[in-house]
Amino acid sequence: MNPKKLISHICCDNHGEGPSVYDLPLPKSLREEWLRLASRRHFLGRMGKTLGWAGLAVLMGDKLLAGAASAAEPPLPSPEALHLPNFPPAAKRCIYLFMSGAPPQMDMWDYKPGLSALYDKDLPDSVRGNQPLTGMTAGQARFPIAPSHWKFSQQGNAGRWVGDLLPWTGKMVDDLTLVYSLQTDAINHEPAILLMNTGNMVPGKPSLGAWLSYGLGSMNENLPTFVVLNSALIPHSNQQPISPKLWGSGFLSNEYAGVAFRSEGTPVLYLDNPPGLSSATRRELVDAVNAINQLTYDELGDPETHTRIQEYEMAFRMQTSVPELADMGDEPASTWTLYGEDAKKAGTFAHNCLLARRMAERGVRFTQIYQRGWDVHGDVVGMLPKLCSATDRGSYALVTDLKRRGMLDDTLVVWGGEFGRTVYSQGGLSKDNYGRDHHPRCFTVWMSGGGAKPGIAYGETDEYCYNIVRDPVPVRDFNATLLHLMGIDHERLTFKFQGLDQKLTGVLLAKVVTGLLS
Amino acid sequence: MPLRVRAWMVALGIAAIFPLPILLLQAPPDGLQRAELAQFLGRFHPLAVHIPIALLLLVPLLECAALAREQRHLRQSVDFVLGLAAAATIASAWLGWMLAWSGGYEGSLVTRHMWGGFSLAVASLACWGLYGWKRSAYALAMLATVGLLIWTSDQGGKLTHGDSFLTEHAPDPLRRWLGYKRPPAVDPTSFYAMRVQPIFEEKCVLCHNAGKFKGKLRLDTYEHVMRGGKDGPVIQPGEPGKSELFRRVTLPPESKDFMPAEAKPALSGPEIKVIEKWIVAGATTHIADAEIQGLLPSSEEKAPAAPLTADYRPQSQTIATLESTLGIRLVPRSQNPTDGLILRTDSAPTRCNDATLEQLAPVANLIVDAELARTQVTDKGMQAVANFSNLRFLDLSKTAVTSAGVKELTKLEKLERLNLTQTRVTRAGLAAAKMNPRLKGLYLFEAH
Repeated sequence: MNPKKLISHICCDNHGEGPSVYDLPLPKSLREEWLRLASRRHFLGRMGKTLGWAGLAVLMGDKLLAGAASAAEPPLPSPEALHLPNFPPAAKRCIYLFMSGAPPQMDMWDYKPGLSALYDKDLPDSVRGNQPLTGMTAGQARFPIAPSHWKFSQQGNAGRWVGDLLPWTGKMVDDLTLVYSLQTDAINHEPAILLMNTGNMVPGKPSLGAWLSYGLGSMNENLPTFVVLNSALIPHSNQQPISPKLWGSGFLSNEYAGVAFRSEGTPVLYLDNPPGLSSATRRELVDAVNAINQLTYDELGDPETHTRIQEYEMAFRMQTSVPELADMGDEPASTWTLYGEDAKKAGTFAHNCLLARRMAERGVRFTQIYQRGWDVHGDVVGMLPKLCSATDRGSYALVTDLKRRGMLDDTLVVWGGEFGRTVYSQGGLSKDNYGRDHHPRCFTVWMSGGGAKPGIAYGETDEYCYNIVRDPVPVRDFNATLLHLMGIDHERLTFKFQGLDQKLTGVLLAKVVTGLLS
Repeated sequence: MPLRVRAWMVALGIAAIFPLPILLLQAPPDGLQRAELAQFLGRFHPLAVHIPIALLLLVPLLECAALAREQRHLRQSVDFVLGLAAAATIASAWLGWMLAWSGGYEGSLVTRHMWGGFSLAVASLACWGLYGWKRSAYALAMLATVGLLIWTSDQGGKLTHGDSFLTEHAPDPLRRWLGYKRPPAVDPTSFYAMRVQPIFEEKCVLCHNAGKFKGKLRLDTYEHVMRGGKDGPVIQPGEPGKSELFRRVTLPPESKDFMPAEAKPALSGPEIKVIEKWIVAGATTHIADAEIQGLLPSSEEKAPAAPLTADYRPQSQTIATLESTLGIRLVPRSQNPTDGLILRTDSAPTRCNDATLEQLAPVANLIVDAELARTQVTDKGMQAVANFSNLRFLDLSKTAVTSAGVKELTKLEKLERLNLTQTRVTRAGLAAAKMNPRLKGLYLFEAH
């Protein structure tokens, strides 16, 4: 290429590709002076870019660009900035015993003596109304009423009727707040369990525990604020899957998500230092990794990087705190007489209840224990006694233990599933056995301690245990009540996401059920 | 202008206003807001009306001026001005209908004004028609038109500014002559002025004011509150249960009749209580604020919670220093700064000992809840705890505290809960200590 041909004018630099004024046979000082001068070309070029950016700014809105400029600022309001609790809480911590799969309320809690006379009679259409059923029973030719196989007996000072399958829990009915009238909007497990745990049937919302961690913060910096304990499976039970989205933090920072402990072996894997690695070396390693992560955070401002730093720190501190927590050698003999020998076996429900009590002592804000297997579509008579015996004593022991240790005053215990079960039998009904399908219209949960009114039964279902006739409690109202007991106005614990001030209780009108408060 | 042309144009004008009475009857203003564009155009009505007003008033002026010989040429303008006035009147009437229909208006005042506007359009058109045909009829029609104009404008003015706008500040002789009574002045120290009216102004007046009185109810003055709405009075003095206003604000928020409507902020519990008190006391403006207190049974009054401690915020600096040097946390119990602090040791219970408690002296009276479980504190530290004068909750479980230490705690008059689980306190020692009678929860599980 002939350079001289390309240059049509000495000012032209041919877009930087061809020879420029630098290539001309001029004294160096003159060439530099020339280049310092802004030519019309430079002027127009720069002006065009400026206008382009200005146009882009208008199109994108100033927030996006401003966001890029101030990325290193704290991305979320910290729990301190939220100034919670809104009022002095009745409960400082909460233990939620989640019966995944949905226990049959009329076999355990909601006593319906009139049903035995209706054995194998059809459930009147007027009771069912136009309710869509699940695919599992929608095709059934008839809906025969299955009275409970078990007897009920009166317990406690109030003479409350409790199913004989719950000999232990029945003993403490005076300490319980029974709610017969919970109702949910979902008829299948996944949406229903999400609704109970996160306030929304669609995945991606923060769970109750994550909201509490975010809103109230940690009480013990050496342990997670929100711990999940998955109990060992009960053989032959019909288990529904549960997954971390039930204890996830959704759009909140990941540091507020629940930390799931294992049900077998050590609660947290790889917590011990490998042979030859001292704690001091581990500390240096964590410091170095955190320093690198901090550089990344300063540069990009991604809150997830910050979460990662927190997690490294938490893991390091848990190296000492978790073994101490899990070592139950310091428990007095009275503990084992209360919880039973079963509690010595890691992973059992009773063991997890004891672990939850130990965590409550050490300042874990929220513990959620899952027990799967309650999905009794068939063989209720065979399965339900196993499920009850696996959970009955642990629930009783936990509440009783908290009470005698003076902790029930400020610890809230909640027991419940994601919906109820139908009064009519799924599949064949015989005198010896029956099945029960999903039933969202009513189910029973209980609370204890932490400001819940002890010894009451709230709400009432009809004689078929099918519809609520008095004081229905939608899930959102129940969750609003739980937040209230923890000192939080559910309307005020919000987080702006996708253009909405998101909250646990959702967009429908939710209210605190004052009848449940002491 | 030839008579035939004029007749055609009058016919055209009639055609232009003909739909208006049909719309007035078929789609009367009903208080709803609708149709953005109609609202936009309609809001020019208060501006545009001044054109026909000026033009219509100009006609008699021109006629009078033209009586003088040297101004006779002015008469030539009358035809043009009058024609223009008729056209402008018709246009204004249409804009007015748009505003009324779409802008959330309702009530007899706006209906009267609309019929006035329509009549005025017909009248001005008639004047113009008669002008080229019969002078005497024209003169009479013009006189009537001006009268109608004044009445209609007055109605419109009342719509915009309120019906006492002109007379409010008139000198008393004039007011007497006009037959207006000055509304009895509301005593600014009365319960109504100090407590009730501010609630109405904050929560109700947006929709119940002079310009936009939903349900024909205005709540911007005492007279209007008592006058009521389209279903009659909304306040029955002495009987909150029979007062429609009270019923509406106390309905469940889901209810169709609930007020404030359209998800506007509801009245708070105390606000409802104030209105209830006022109605029970006779719903007058005479009762002073001080008198009305205590008219209701005092059990319904919820006494404001007394502060548990002093405000902790002036001590923030001290608190931060103590937290960082002692390895403890001093956490506010709630966002109310007089609910006190929690002394929290869960992160490092072994760091907390008797010396720690002594160093907390600067904030001793702010601590309401001391979580000392599993710490190294002993009986000696209880002397420091005894100075936590506002302490309500004390957890000493799994500490080395004995009955001797508990004896120190008898000074804590406000203590409600004491946890001595797994300590060396004995029942006998505790009985000897004589704790304060307020103590509701005492836990001695696994104590010796």
